[in-house]
Amino acid sequence: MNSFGTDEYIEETVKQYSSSMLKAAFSILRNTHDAEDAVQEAFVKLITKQPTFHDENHEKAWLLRVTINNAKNIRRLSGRESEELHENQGFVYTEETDVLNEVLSLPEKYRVVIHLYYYEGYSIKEIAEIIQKPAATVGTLLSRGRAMLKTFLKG
Amino acid sequence: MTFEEKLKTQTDQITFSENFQCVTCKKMRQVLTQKEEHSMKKFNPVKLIVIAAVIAALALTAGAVSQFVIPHQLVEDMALELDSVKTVIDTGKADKDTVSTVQKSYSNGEYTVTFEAIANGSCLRKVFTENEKPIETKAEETYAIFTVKRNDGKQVLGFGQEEGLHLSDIGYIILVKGYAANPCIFADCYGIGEYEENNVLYVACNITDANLFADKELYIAFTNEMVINYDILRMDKNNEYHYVDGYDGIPALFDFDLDDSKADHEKAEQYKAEHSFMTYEEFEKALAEED
Repeated sequence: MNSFGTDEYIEETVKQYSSSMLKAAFSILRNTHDAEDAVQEAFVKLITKQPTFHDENHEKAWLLRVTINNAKNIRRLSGRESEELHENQGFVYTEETDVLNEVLSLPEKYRVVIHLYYYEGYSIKEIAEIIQKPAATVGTLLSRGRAMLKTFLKG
Repeated sequence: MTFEEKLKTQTDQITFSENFQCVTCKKMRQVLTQKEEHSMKKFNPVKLIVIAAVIAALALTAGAVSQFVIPHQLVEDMALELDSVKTVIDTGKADKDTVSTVQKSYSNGEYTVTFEAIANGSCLRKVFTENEKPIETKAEETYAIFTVKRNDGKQVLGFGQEEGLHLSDIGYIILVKGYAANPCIFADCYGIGEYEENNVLYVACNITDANLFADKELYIAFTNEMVINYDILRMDKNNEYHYVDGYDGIPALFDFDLDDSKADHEKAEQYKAEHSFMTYEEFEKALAEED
């Protein structure tokens, strides 16, 4: 299915998936520069490992999983989980980004699930496969994340 | 607008570097080129001829101690038996302050992972390269040297659909006894590198951070599933570490010692706090909350 070595494959793959991957990484890192590093590393791993995919959905899920793991790695090594949201992290937070602000203020384990569910439109089962947690755990995380966002979810 | 619509609209306002796709494509092409060159570089007869010539030249020099031959006395003094890592450690610069042998092996029948030695950057040879340039290792930093071999003698690294290990999947994590396996200290292999020669994979990891805990019981765990799942070990209530069920990689776990005098309790406490180290009870509580 994949012709990893061709320029065409590289350009099309990056074009097709980088937006989703960047936003997933941003949901963890809250920093565009670090998010770009996490995603770039994921693409490098794609070209190094050259896995076999059943279809495009499988390919995207694999890339998201690697991106999320890379992002968690970066966050862990930098020890920045406790940071408050800052304007100088590559994104300007305003009143018009109120919903995004709230989601990004959640603890990491809730915000990545909220992002994958509401932004990417994945099911609980699909999210479970991406982040490699039991579906029941994902359901609980989603439920608790929603509880924290109750005010915004009513709107 | 619904919550979902607002989240999508607002998330789409996040902008990333304009040239991100271009830079990423370029990097991917570079990696592909390096892979192709690597697969052609398994055997370098020119390098071996040069080494042989140098040995011959040194042997002619009166009183010279060749850096390719370990003096008998040095072997006795240090119990050095580092034949397998001569290409990595410059034995001419090695002494008991710069290298300590470990030589512990684990084999799963298919691969053998050996924790060869702990060395300072001052005596590591510039064999690790990135983009053809030798990587500079730092004298004041501490490195763990590993070798990985296939028991059938074949090439260790595979690319694409080839059998073998994938470089991007290989990683090492350092555990401090009494603390959960995740979060932990990551041994930094990036920028140090790995290379394969004569079907032996050499890896040097920067384990300097572990020095803060040098007076504690330490472990280092090998994984070749780093990209898939970094939750590869768990600690039980007796503070023993085990690879998790479902881990399909090589479960090579080693205990090791560092120089106690390098321990720094104050910085260790800071490190633990910054990296959210957890005891068994704290980790189980966090897991229960998650579920």
